[in-house]
Amino acid sequence: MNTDDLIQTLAADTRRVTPGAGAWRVAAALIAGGFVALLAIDALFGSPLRAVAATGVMVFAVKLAYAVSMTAVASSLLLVAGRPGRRLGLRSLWLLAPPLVVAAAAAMELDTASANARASMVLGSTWQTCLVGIVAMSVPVFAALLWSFRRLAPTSLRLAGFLAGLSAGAMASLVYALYCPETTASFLLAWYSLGMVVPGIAGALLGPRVLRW
Amino acid sequence: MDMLESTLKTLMLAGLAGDRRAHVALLSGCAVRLCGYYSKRLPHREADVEDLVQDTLMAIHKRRESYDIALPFTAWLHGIARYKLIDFFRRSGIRATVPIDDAPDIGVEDDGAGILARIDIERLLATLPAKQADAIRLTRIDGLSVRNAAAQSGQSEPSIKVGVHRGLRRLMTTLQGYDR
Repeated sequence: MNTDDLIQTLAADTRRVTPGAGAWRVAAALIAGGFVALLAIDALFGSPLRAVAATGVMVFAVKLAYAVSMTAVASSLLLVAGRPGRRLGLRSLWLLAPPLVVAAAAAMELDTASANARASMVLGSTWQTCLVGIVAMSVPVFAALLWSFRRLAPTSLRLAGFLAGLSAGAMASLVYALYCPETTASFLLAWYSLGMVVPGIAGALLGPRVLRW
Repeated sequence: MDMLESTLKTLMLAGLAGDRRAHVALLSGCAVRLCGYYSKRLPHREADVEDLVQDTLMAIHKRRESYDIALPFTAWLHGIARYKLIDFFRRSGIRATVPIDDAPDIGVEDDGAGILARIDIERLLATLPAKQADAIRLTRIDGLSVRNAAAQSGQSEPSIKVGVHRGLRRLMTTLQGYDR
């Protein structure tokens, strides 16, 4: 086909694109993926919010704040990475802000604790479940984010893969928080963060293959 | 016909609003620029260039949502063109590097005849320090006045004059070296 014919064929399907379309698509993917993760974890653990009732609302609110802020930062960076001509630059430092706040809280908490209490504050009683749970729940979210990227144009596939994985991990930790019985900031810092970083690394490794266009 | 950034951006915005004719004009304008961009980088490979142009046009059409309307259109176009070029190199197993800011000359490219001559000039200029090369490019190739060249490059006027002078002298020595 010659180029002029191609142009006519393509233009035959000129649809209106609203300004926020890309952002909405990523947001929709997060919500849809998160919903699938919620159904899955509900089937496994049952009765959400029992853990929340046990830990108290304040502790839950802190977990929620960490998960929501990481999801927001990572996915907005992801959107930038899907737009040719834009660079992340110093903006990516925002990724450090939520963990730093949690780290400050964890430091205060560990400082006042006795030496033998520290290990159990970090490990809690459910760190394995937490890590496996968050990583597993990130899978549907990651898949949904890949779908949302079919209309975006990442020019660095590793970076976009990393940010997609990180966003998926953060969204998964949001879902997992509904079932998490742990109460310490040290636990949150160690295992929630790791639960976000593992999908991030997986995303960076998969990116060049699954995000290619 | 080559189109300016402002024209292309207007067409893009109209196309995004659903205007089919503007979208056709935009894609045609992009095709001209892409053809210049790719044939400069893949000399004597017309078939590959045409494939790349068409592949890129399809990507442009499909991924219009990825355009950030706060940015110049040519920055977006250049990002996509560059990605497709690197992808082409990877597919065909050519090990090549495309510098990150390989001058968004997709914005100022002429088509056809001038391209080959331009490659030689670019190759020569690449041997000079960036400031001298810029000074020569702006004043001698793009034909700007010293004052405009200074404004555009962020160098001072004397620095442009000195850059042109030293740069040209250096090129002369290089070229004489080839003759011997």
